[in-house]
Amino acid sequence: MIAAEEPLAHVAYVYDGTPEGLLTAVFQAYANHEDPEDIAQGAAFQPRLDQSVRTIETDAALAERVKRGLVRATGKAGFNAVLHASLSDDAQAGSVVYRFIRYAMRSNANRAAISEIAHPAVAPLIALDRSVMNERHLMQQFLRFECLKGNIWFARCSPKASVVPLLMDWFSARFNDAPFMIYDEAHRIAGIYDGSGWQLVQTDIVNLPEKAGDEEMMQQAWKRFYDAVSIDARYHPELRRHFMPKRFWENLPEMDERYDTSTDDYSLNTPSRSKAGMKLSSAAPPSCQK
Amino acid sequence: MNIVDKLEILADAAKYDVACTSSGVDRGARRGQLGNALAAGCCHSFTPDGRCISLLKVLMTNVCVYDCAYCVNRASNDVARVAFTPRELADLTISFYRRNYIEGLFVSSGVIKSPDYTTELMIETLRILRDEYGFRGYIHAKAVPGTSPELIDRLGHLADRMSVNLELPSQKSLALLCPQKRKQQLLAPMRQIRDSMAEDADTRALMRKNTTYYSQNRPAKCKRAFAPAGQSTQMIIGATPENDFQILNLSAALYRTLSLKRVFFSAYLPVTSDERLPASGAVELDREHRLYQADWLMRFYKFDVSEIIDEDNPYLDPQLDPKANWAVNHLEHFPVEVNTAPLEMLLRVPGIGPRGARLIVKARRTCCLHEPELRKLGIAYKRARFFITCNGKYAGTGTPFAPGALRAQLAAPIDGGKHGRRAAKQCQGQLSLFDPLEGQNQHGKRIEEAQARDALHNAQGTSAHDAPTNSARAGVDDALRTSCKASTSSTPMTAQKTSISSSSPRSLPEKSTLASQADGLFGWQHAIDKQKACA
Repeated sequence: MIAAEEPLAHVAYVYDGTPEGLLTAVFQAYANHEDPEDIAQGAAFQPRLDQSVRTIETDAALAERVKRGLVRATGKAGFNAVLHASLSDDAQAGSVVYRFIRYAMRSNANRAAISEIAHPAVAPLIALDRSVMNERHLMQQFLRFECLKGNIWFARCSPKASVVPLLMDWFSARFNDAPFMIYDEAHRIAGIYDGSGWQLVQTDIVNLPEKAGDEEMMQQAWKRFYDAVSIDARYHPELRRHFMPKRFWENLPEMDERYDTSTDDYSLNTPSRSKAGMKLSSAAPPSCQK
Repeated sequence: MNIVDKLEILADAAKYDVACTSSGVDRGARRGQLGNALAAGCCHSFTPDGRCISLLKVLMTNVCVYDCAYCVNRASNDVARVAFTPRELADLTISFYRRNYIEGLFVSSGVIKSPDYTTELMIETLRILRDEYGFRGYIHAKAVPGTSPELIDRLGHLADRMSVNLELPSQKSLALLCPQKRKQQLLAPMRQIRDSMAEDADTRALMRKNTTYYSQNRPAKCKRAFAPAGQSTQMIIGATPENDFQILNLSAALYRTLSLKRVFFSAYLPVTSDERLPASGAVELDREHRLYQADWLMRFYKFDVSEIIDEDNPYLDPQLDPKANWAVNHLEHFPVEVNTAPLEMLLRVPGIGPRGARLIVKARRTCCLHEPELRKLGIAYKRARFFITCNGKYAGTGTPFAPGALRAQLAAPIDGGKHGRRAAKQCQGQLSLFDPLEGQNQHGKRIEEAQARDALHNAQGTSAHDAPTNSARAGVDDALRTSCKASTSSTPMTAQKTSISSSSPRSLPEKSTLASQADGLFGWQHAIDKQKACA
């Protein structure tokens, strides 16, 4: 551990990946009178040549102080942008947030730092904020719940940013009378709503009860509805992939090949493609005799 | 028959209804009730044709007493007929909603027994959803023409958006294809919905402002608003001979007089055979696309319909989008200075949309905008640079500031080749609607062939304007020039132009007279200039 009293010229801060950790790192940068070149998350961080590394212990009280200062300096909107950006998976997110906070907290700053959207210290933060909120919206669109025994609803997802905390308010308001759980496989975070309030749990193991009796039937009904509303003469799979990228398909029942019941009517035009348009048909013609 | 089979049949029957939007109303969640609604809407899935699924779009029943020529549910068509009971449909909606499959319900119907009976079934479904399940999600209900006003009123107070299908763009076509529907039958409910919405808004405004002292006259507070997300309509394009000029003027009139939220266009798809319908298999998807672009200009860009299209050119340009078309024909307004121009002017620049324009206005308060800043804000700088100056500097140099040249730069054919399963055939059929373009299309193909033959490229991209794909953005080499001659020598004027191009580059007076002739022909003048430069 490096002595705290000596400010370092070339230093990188490593934090634990949470927004609190990031805000603590920002606090430490001010406290140590240092200007870290990188603020990065995780142990996988690789320092530059001649760069020393400080590992930041997350401290909720210090993070709270940074939050209050930030709200005072640039308003609630600025703090929200910082919060959203710090949930991003982008490797640069820590540094971007730090640069913005430095800029917003400078002595002659006005409250409108967050609205200087073309400024080099602000634009990257806005971009990160936007990408995280876009990911949140994609999750609002493509999250699929299934009913488990005991009337518990469960959804799994693997988003590109850790957006489960941003989703919990939306879904707990919408489905307020039923307990549910959203599990983020990429970040190993489960958001659990128990019917009155929600909390986040960091976990690797999820043990689930069995599916409720009518779940299979409902998924199949949805799949058949999906297939029925497609208009063949307007077929345009590129457009669908543009709006609904393939990375979401594994969790969508309508893209589940198991429920494909009627591929034969389609096979007249293109024998090698099933209705969902993603897999090649395995049924080879019986003509290949030796 | 089980409910899943019913769902499949009735969803299949409803798929030609275009509207599937869940937008227009912001309603927060409430404890003990199910759901909420988002003003921007939310799409939950996308079909293989790229259209969104945000609502459970089904018919109450596909039994219909009408016999409209274009409709898949027409009485004389031989399809399986089924009907949901209100309870079944409401239960299904709730089950799907809880799984986050949908944002709400879109309920339409064939006419069973009578319009009133049909509407009563729909009202019962909505009542179960709203009252018994406490459903606060989005509901779009179709008003069946010929329903009595009292029932429309009840339906409107349960639904978020109402719509009446105008079906076809003119009264004559309506009389031809749906002889049982009258124009008045369609317009009466539309007027009623408009008036009820206005009345409702007035009452609420009064209540909010607290301007009335007569508290006993206040409407019950818990009464639902009448169609808070407005009303929409749809019409079929290409089944009847109306041109784009008529269609756009009609939709402008609808926005103006009936204060609609949306007018949807639906390219005609042959689903039934009838001698009154066009026989060709071409689906006019590209035309539909251009009509929607024009519609967006009217709704979000403050364009008047007379600026988009006029009677002399009654079809929208398939090669150039309507906004770029307006810009290249009104160069006297350009270039605009991004750092000072008003919002309305920024909205007119090709490459700057409503979001980009607002961001520019916001960003320029604190800094001076140049190319990197504009790119950072998400402006399509490649298109916009011909029409803007950044702090007095014009970045569109290299291209003459003239309609023909700019048209060549901006031409962006719709990627029609990707649309539709039998796309290649359909697009050719479609382009044949616009007679002068037929030759050009062949011309573009010849360019591609020539390109394949020899890979000689010059730096200047000049022929993108009349080529169907960007890959044909080729330089003017010898092979191209011969193919130009070959494809255009049929008309005397163009033949003259190509002969000029191979002659001496010093013939200025001829050039100016030719320029006026050639500008209308999709920037051919530009191509000629480039050829001269090469020579």
